[in-house]
Amino acid sequence: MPDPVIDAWHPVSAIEAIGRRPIHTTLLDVPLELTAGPGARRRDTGADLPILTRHGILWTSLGTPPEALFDIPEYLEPDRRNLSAGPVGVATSAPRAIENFLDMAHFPFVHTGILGAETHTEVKDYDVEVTANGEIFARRCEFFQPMAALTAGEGQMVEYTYRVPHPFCAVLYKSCPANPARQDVIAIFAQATTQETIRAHLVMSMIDDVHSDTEMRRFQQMIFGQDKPILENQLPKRVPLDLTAEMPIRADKASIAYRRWLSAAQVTYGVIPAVQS
Amino acid sequence: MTNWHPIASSTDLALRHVYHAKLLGQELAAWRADDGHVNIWQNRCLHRGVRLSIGLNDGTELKCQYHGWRYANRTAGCTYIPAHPENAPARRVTNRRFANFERHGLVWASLGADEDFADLPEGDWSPLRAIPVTAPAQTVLDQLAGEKLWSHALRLDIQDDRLIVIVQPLDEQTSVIRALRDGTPDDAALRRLNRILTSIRDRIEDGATP
Repeated sequence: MPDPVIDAWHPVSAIEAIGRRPIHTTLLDVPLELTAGPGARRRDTGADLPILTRHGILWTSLGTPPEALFDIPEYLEPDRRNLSAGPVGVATSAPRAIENFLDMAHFPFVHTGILGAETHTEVKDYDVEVTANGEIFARRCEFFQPMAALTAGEGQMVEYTYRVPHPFCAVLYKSCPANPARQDVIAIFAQATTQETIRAHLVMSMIDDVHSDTEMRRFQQMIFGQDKPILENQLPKRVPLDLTAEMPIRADKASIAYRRWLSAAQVTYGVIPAVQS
Repeated sequence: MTNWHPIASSTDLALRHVYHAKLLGQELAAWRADDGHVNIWQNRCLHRGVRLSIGLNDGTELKCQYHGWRYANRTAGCTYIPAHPENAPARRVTNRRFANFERHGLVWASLGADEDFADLPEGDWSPLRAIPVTAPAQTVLDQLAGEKLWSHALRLDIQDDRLIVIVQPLDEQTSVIRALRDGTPDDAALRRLNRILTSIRDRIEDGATP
């Protein structure tokens, strides 16, 4: 049976960041070298690793990865602005970063005046399901946002769909202020360098004819820069999969589904597994 | 007696501040409410584990930075969960509290039973600067020659200065020297004792390096 983490694809760099000089990085405690071409090699054993370029990111695997990686069909639409921002190093586990990405309740307190306001803190009920192909979807997630994106002129109710297609990756689809018929797509691909440290690769696929790449990257980095100190002050750094270890509320439905899903997939990296009774 | 340890100076618990303390490996969030009451709690929000020491002290409640959960002065009970503003939090949503009191300019806490505190020898005890040491408390105590008061404290005279030295164990590797001087020190005494205690710290750390 494939290991849910070792045999998975993992993000290691934005493709555009790979130049003539090799990049040294770490994946699951293993030192790697990334080279132009692109290519990936273990620095401890010298072994070449499989690679995949997808969603603007170079992916590799320490085991035997599946043929394909999850799709983000929007990324291929011709009029989208596809950009990567980061990577941002964060001293926390990959699952803590994914849970934070799935969480709306922190918007008024961590992203005050941008993704939330202290006058609008309620998280309304939303739907969570695990689809037939094993992905978590949270739908009908609504939240009031003062500045949902750079293209937003004023505060508005924003609808989100969250998707977890990979233990350490999550994608969100949110109402697009520039075009009500479409959705902006933002993804976090967490490269677990160790059990308690990550490099977060942030990828955007946006409808925006106005702002420069730099402005769009800066917006995303500002938002994630607000999350980083919170994540780094969260203890324990590994997510406890015992659902009684922390105190969830209804708003945490997505986080609960994610913890159950990690348990069911027998993920042990970056988590505190529940003790089997 | 042995359960009580100083974990902060009284002045560390400044108005509307939350102080990050540590004792025997346990992280603590220490804050003074506007009514003067000192709260010493486990340094984690019950919800998602964010340190409460980065939270906000509004004078009557401590508010978590992550999701705005509020915990009351004295009871440590959660009073408000903003994501569900219409539901009162269940009573079991109460943070872990630790017994404490203030004396001689220090905040004392116990992780164990709330036992009696036998007071210090007679004196007008006034706290000196806390001196963190990268060495276990026992190593520090072994290096100080004085009359033992209890497991973590001794009486010590350095020239004309009458001192009590208490060593706070932060964790297994680190500690804090908290000394009290008999009589309010003037600037010259503060400088002199700072120099002496710092050199003791340096000597201990040099000796503790393998």
